[in-house]
Amino acid sequence: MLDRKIAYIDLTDGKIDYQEIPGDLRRKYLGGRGINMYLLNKLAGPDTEPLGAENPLIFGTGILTATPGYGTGRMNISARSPLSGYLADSNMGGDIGAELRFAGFDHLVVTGKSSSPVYLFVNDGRVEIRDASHLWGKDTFETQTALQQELGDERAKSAVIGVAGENLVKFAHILSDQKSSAGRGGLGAVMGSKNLKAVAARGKLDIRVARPAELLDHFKAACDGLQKKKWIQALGTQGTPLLFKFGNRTGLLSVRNHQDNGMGEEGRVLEAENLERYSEGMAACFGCIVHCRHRHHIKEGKYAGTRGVGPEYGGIGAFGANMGNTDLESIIYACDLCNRLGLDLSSTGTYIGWATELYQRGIITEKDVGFPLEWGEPDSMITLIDDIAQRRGFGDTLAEGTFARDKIGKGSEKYMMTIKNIPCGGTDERAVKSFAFGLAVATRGSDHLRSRPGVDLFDLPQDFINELYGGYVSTDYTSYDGKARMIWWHELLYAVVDSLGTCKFQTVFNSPNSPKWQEFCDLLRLSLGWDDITPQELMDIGERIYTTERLFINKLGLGRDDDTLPRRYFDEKVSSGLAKDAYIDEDRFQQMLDEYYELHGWDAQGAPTEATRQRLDIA
Amino acid sequence: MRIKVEADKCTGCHICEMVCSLHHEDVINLERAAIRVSKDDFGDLIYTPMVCRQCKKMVCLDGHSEGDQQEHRGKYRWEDASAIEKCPFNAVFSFQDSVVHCDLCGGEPRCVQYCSVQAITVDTGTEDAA
Ligand code: SF4
Repeated sequence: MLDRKIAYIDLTDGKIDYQEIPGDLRRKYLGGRGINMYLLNKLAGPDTEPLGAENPLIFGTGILTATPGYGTGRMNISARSPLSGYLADSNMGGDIGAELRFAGFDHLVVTGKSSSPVYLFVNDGRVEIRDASHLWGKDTFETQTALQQELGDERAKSAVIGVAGENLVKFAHILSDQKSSAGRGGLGAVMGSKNLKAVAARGKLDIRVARPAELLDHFKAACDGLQKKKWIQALGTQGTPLLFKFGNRTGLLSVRNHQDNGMGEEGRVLEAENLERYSEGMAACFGCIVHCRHRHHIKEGKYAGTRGVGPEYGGIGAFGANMGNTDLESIIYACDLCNRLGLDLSSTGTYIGWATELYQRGIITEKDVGFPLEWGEPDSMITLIDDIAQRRGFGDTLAEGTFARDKIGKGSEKYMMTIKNIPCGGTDERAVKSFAFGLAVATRGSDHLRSRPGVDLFDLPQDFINELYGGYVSTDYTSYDGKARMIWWHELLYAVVDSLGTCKFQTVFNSPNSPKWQEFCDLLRLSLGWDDITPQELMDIGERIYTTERLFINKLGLGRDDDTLPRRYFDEKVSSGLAKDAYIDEDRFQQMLDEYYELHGWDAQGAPTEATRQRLDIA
Repeated sequence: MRIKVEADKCTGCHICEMVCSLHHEDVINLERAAIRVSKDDFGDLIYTPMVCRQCKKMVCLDGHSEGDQQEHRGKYRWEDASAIEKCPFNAVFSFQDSVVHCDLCGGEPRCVQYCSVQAITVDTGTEDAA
């Protein structure tokens, strides 16, 4: 399977160059996010305009995508971000990654700008640039359906943009099927800026593995083991919405733009059990036994006919808690609407929540917005979602995302919850120090998927935790001790996971007794014949990938001062729930930063040292 | 014996296809799989595993002798491409120059062993073609 190639596609002159992926690059960066980061750091820098033709839009499947493993339907899309100005890198599921691999490619590097709308057709070792004028203006579902019809194949999969991407909304996403999305960082706008409507793939090429029979046996044992786990069973029936109850009780939600942290009894209508009446079964990404996604159908009422996949905890947070909205059907509808229009729903919820707080405070008024913007009013929220995607009225201002604060001014930035210009999602992490710290330091900005630890929430024995992390980590989630180590360790692990193309739900994300370094070595041995790979080498690969990302964002001007949290985390205490009165102590936070940089081998400003670069062999 | 399909349980993971091709051909290629999951991604979101139903009367091999039909039952690769058109269930597939057909892995269908939701199970009966 190491015969998969990179295609360099220049949309300005239509040239396509196919290249092998060198073996030593594989061993240093694996694939997926790893090789994407290597390429991005090489091809982009401070002179790269995020919406300029030169910005490389990089698609990368994991080195184990589409093989029997731990949920191998994943891939990453990366570029310089138009939303933050820094790193855009988003991991997505579905079937599209697998289809790209069957079509012969692991990475696509798209540069340039086409003079008219086009799509790429990736098929059995070839990439074709095709006219997409007829697709421009279509929503994401219509586009994918039209592509399947045009290609005459229901098994053709595509990753597409909606009108939001076409209109260069700064937080437009790239979507595949009804739900799998490269959501964060405005990758859809990068695609739109290139006049690239879609990447469609269809492949019939063999993927060879080193030890087929052994791999099958190993996969069987792994699946059987995982399926016995309670949390896998829970995710497979309730999906991520199961977290809502816990978040609400503990005070880990963002309510009304982080003004509150829980909804109390009132929020119980948003608990996962209430989704069951809309669920028509679960859906899985390629190669995954967890199947954590609901297929929903609203049959009656105002939103009758709504059919889609989801919603996730993130969506319920974004359009429920964060908007003070308890109308579950409107939340499901809003999530689907974002997916159709091509908007990252999590960012959309954050910005609309921010605007609503500005309205509450009189910083903006009905005159600015065109209609009243009240908490718990789904109609205005839904109107605004559409206005953002179409860049209509006040929606045009919000479509600028984080930079809308410059347009509005009047102290509005104080209420904007972002880290490195990337909006915080529907959760509030003041209570759990490791979570908060992870968001603060994430290379992409406010990204729980770069390091989400969670292990200190389970009351596990101290010895066990110390052994897992190779050093002292407090078992108390409200403690700062050792949490820098914890975040560092998870950053390395998830960098590897995103480069393997496996799913975070099948590693140390929800349970410490999940596949990790050794299990990944076993997979690499059976799949690729890498017999000598060791857990330590994998950890070094994780460090190399993470440090490459760090070099990239440092080069764009980020440093220690940007490894921080929204002021609210330091200045305001949690108002309710079990986490009442929690906040982040600034001195302790700075101490964690010191520990964290040292573990990575970076200097006190968060810049990788020469010795670290040499050790990791990063050019 | 045949594979019984309950589409409403299928999550669309494609594991059955991956396992089928790896078991029979030592490579991963869903085009080589004798089971295919048809996904209605933008309609009613139903995922339907399509696989040979082991019909008593093999319409797909109309014109072949009884003995020849029985011999085909246990085979994974067939040559007569007309079978694809003739199967009323769209349950045999073409790959390159041959036809791919579910041979039940000689009595222990691998796909069934790996399906995490029992959307496909072993049924000891056969079926009458529609
Ligand atoms: S293994 Fe089962 S759930 Fe997965 S696609 Fe096949 S039939 Fe559906």
